[in-house]
Parts: sequence; C-alpha cells; structure tokens
Amino acid sequence: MSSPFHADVCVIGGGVLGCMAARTLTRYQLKVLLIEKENDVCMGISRANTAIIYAGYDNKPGTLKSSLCVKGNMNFPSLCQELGVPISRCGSLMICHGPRGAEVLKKKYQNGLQNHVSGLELISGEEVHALEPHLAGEIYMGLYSPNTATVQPWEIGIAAFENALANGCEVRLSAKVTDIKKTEDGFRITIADTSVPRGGKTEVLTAGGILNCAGVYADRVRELLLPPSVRIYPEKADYFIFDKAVKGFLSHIIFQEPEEKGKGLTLVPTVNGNLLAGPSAQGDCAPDDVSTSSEGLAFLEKRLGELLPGLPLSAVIRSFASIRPNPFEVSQGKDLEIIRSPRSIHSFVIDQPGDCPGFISLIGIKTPGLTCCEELADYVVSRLLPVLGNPPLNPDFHPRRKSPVCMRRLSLSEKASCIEKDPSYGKIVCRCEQISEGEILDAISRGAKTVDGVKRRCGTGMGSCQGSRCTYEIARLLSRELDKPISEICKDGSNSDFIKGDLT
Amino acid sequence: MTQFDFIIIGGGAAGMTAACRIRKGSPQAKILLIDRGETLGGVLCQCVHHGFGLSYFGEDLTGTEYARRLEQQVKNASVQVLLCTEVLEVSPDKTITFSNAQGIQTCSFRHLILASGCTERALGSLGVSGTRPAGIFTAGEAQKLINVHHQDIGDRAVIIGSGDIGMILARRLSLCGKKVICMTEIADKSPALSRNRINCLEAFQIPLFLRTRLIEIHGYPHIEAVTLLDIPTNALRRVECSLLIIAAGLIPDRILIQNFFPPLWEAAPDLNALPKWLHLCGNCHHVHPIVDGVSFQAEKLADRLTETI
Repeated sequence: MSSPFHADVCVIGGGVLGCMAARTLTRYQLKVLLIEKENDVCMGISRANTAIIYAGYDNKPGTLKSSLCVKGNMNFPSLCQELGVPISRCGSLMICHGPRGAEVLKKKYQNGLQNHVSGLELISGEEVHALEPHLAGEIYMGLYSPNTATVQPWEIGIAAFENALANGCEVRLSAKVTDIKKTEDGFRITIADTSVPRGGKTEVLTAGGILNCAGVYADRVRELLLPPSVRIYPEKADYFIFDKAVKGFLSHIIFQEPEEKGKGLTLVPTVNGNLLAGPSAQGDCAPDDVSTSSEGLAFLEKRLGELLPGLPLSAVIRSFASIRPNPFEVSQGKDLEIIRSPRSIHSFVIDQPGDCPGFISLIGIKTPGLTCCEELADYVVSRLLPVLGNPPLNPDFHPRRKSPVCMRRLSLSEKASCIEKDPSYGKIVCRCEQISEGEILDAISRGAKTVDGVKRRCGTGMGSCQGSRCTYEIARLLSRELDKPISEICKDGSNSDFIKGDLT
Repeated sequence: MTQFDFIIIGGGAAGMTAACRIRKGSPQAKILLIDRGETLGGVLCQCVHHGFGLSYFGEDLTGTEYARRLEQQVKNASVQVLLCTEVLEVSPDKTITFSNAQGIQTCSFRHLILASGCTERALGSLGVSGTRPAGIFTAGEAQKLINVHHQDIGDRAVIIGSGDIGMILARRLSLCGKKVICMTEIADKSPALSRNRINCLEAFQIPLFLRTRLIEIHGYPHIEAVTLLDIPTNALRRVECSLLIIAAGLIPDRILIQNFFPPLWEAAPDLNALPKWLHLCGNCHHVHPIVDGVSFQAEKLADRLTETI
C-alpha cells in the first residue's frame, strides 16, 4: 500500500481566509494542501456579504479586531494591486436621523481616533445631503470616512487561491473532512468526495499542522478532534442588487444608524457599478441555508423607500442571502448536552489549544473579516510556524497574480490588440457585461468548472438578464474545454446540473 | 473610418425589413446591418410555431420561415451585413464601435436605426424569496434551448406569466411530452391572444391561475417546488415542480443608447427626446403582439427616412 499524501500544513476551507492563509503559507518552504468541500473556492460566506473594506472605527480600541482592521484597510489597496483585483476606495458616510444616532456616531468617531483611523470627520446633515443629494429624509449628522472601500469579495479569494497554486500549493476540491486524528508527529485527516450525491470514496492524508478556516462549519471541524467550547449559530440576512443602469444615486458607501430601535440599511456602490442594498434584519438559520425571506425583502423595500425614494425597485436584478458565522461559548451539561452562553462572542475566535498547538481554528470571523483577511492569515501562520520548526522562507515565492484581461476596462486600441492576438476576445458572449469568449476561456483555464465559477472569475451573468442570454453558451464552452457532456455541467455547486441532455 | 448613410443594429424582423425598405426608397444609400448572431433572424429563429406573416406576407408561416424570407430580401437588396458582431458603443458624434473576431471597428453614419428587440424580465425584479437553484429559465431562454439546441431542461414545469410567449412555450413543452402543471397570471385576465389561449392552454388542459403571484422558490441545488399566493384570498399554494419558467414580460432593449435615453426602467420614456439621427424600430420601440406589426412599423420608419433624403 502506498503511503498517504502528506502535507506540512492542511488548510481546511477555501473561502477568502483559507485561500489567503494558503497563499501566506507558500511564502515558506512548506508543502501546503487546501481542502474545500465544495467544487470551487469562495462558495460560502465569501461570496455573499456586504463587500466592504472597513476603515476600523467600529471596533473597540485595543482589541485584535480593531488593530487588524485598521491595518487591513491600510494595506488592502496594495494587496489588491498584488493580486490584480479591482478595488474602489469610495469612502463611506455613516448617517443618523436624530440625537440618539448622533451619540453613536460621536462614539464611533472617538473609537476611530483611538484606533488611529485617518481622515474621519463628523459632518452636518446639510453636508451629508450635499455629498449625497439623493438621500431622503431628515439627516442629523454624518461620519465621513475616506478610507472605507469595496471589492468583490470572491475576487480576492480566487486571486489569492490562484497565487497560492502558482506558488506550489495543492488543492482537493469537493473534499469534505470527515475525521481528524492526532498522531505522534501531526494529524491524520480523512476526506470524503462530495461530488457524488450519496458520498464518494474517502482518502486518508497526513499533515504536520492544520489551519481550520471552515467558515460557518469551523466549529464542527474543530470538534472532529477537540471537545466543544465554541459553537457557531449562523444568522442570515438578505440583500438586493440593482441594475447598473441605475446610475448616479450614490457615490459613497452609506451606513444608516436608525433613530428608533432596529437595523439600519447599508448601501454600497460596488466595484462593478451596481448598487448593493442590505442587510435585512438577521435571523438564525441552518449553515447551508441560502434562501432569502419575504420578511427580509420587505424590510429592504421599506428602508429603501425611506432612504432613496427615487430608486425604482423594478431595477432589482437579484436578491441573495448572506450568512454570518455568529460564535457563542458553549459548555457541556452532565448528559453531554450543549449549553449555549447567552451572548455571542464579539471578537474573532482564534483557537490554538495548548496541548495541540498544531491545530489552529479561526471561528466566527464575521465583519470585518474580509478587511482583515491578509492580517488574519499572517497572524495564524505566525502562530503555526514555531510548531512546524520555523521553516525557512520560500525563495521562489512570487506575490503577484497577473490581472486577467477584462475587455470592458480596456481602451479601444488595447481591445484591438487583444483581439488581434486572440480573435475569441472579439466575440462577446455576455451582452449585459460585454464579456468575451476569450475572457470566459481564460476563466476556465484558471479553474472555473461551473457556470457560476465562470461568473465569479470574469463577471458573466451579473447584468440585468442574470445570465438568461449567455448561460447556455458558457455551459457549451465549459463542456468543450472540460471534455464533459453538457448534461454534466453544473450551474453552481455539486449536482446543480441544469440540462438533462438531448431532447428525445 | 467607413461612412454609412444608415446603420441598423439588430438583424431581426425589424432590422431586416427596415434595411430592405430603405434600399427600395433609396437605391444608392450605403446601408450596414449588424447582428450578434451567426444568422439573421433574431428571435424568429427560435419560433418554430406558425401564425407569422398572415398580414405581412399573406401566408401562415413559422417564425423561421418568416426570417428566411426577409433574409432572402436582404440578400437581394445588396445591404452590407455583419454577423457575429457586437456593438459596444453608440457615440453622440454619430459613430458606433463594434467588436467581432476581426477586431474593433468604428464607423460613422447619418442615421442610426436601433432594432435590438427586447429582453425578458428576469426573476430578480419580481421580489421572489427563497433559493436560487438550477432549473429556472426565462421563457425565451427555454424556447431557444428546446427549439434551437434541442436540449431537455426538465419534466414538470410551472410557468409564471400568461402572455403569448408563456402560452407558446406551454404548448411546446407539452408537445415534448413534458407536464406543464400550471400557468400563473398576476392580473385578472391573460394578456395573450385568444387563439393562443385556445390552442396552447385549453388544448392541453393546462390550468391557469389568475390573480396569482409567485412568492417563494424551494429546493437546492435543484428546484423542488414553488409557493404561489392567491391574491384575493391570501391563500398560499405549494406546487412541486422541477422546472420554473419566467414569462413575466418583455422590456425594450435600449441598453446601447441608455446615455441618450435614461432611465431604462421607465415604462414610457419620451421617444421624442431622442437625437434627430437616432431611430427606434420594432420591439425596442414598443412591444408588438405579432411580428407583422414589427415589419409594418419598420417600413413606415424606412419610408419616412428615405423621403427626407
């Protein structure tokens, strides 16, 4: 029998954090393996959230969250440059409608000063209206933050993943970790193939260390080896995305602090030029629940009607739900039942047991996890390195990922020279977003295996028709390039095939 | 830069008719007809049912036959045709820029005729909650998959919207041996032509639920069911299905000229506010219930334009 695959470090979970951690690990002379249970990276929390790079004034001074967030915000533009990912540093306005909200804004402003957030300004309601003339209603005060930014979150994860692969990281997709055992010199990990509906074959691997970045499942992965101490009770919220044709409504990210009790709205002019509105009030949910609720959508409609009354709801092109991994301390009762503490944990949970320091879990990394993704990766890797005997740096590490060609961002002469080199860049497949066959083929060569995998890599199907005019053409290209029948091409996750085959 | 008297964007019924009619009124005019498809015809190419051409050609044709007749006329009219070509931009200096496998090109024109047809209203704007599984198609997308690509997309369908396109698709699915469980309509009456209601719905005993709204989608990764709301009574009805067709209406596709013509989502924008050189033709002007109306409108526009030359 051949010996099992061995990695110096296994990263469990291919979200933004897992991909970023895998990339950071490849800076060292380590054999790194990324394990992801879905058929692609960035399929969970990473692909559905508010997409904001926070400035860092929300977090309590002196906490890990506040220091990582401020640092993360400062470093994000250079991270984006290294990874070839667009970022829009559009700034944000936190707004309120009365004296209660103003106290919250002043508190955040003070927090921000203590956290060394630069550029913050408290401004009057009139100044807010001057900056954002479409905002309706009485605005009492605003907190302006020039450094708040927005990215497409999955683009960061995918770019980090591609860079990690280029630097030697290996990957197992559609592989779910089902068992972890401690061994003399590390861990024995069992993974099961999730690409077949009833569970496929299993494989045993060994690893010197484990970084558990399993997102909403991080508590379960941790409990494969350790007794329960933290559990995630996921919460769900809904969002709207508006047609790009709805232009000029906002130029800043808006955070609304409502005067009465309840949740305010966040509005984001995205990198892609759409307006994103959400989240609705949160509610408990199952970890795999991606459905929106009619209450959530009604809440968004109501709030939008108050805040941006000119915005036509008929211009919504998609609604989606996001999941927040809310962590709670838990203990076990005498019958081993789980007792959940009444309040959720506010900070990031970074769990490295004293008697098992090679197994680090990142649990409950919610806002501002995206902002802190590289800092969190650096932080956990630095804590794992001593356990691995402080490996030397990888002299061949190359931090840059070349930005993929994006035709609609090129000048006419650049477009022309692209098409001259490869005529497939002249053939537009996604009409709404003007994305060419060449860009789609490039996305497939970079690892896209599904229609939505192509979407996340080059932006197809994100326009007003939401893919109704290009899905089949993309599936046909996937079928051709991956040499698979079209009936096996999935829309998104495993088993989401959408064409049964030829009509008989 | 190549100059044209007329550039027509869109080679469907509107664009082809306009091109031929302009040629008739103006034998010398330089005309360019651009389409993104591999053949001329636009949406007609996926319409294999008959009922086309009764008033324009005086014959009962299928959509594809109607398209081939116009295509032959275009060939005879010596109109320059560019296929597999996407117009990227219409500029106020009276030029357009387009892209195809040969490269990027900019051409100038005296008149621009936009004949870009419609897009379908997508699920996103309907305010429907629930999951977003595989197995949801717009009616036009489904029609193309079945009639052009001969693909099987599912067995048990619910169709949202009871306009003509939904009706035609209900019949097509039934003829393929699929079960159309029901069709829903938000209004108290179907907007479809009565011949379609009789031939497509009643002939196949497909129930039509009026005053009914789709409110939730269930199942993941495949669609398993939908929840429908009966508006007068507020009663909810769960319908199991493996295919959901959105036939919720058409929106004139004016994305290329949105800079001259905001905002896109307005139901009745002011067509008179357009620049003098820009003309809308066919379904991107307004949605026509039958294609013959598109051709007649295109002829009228072409006559008006050639008279002024």
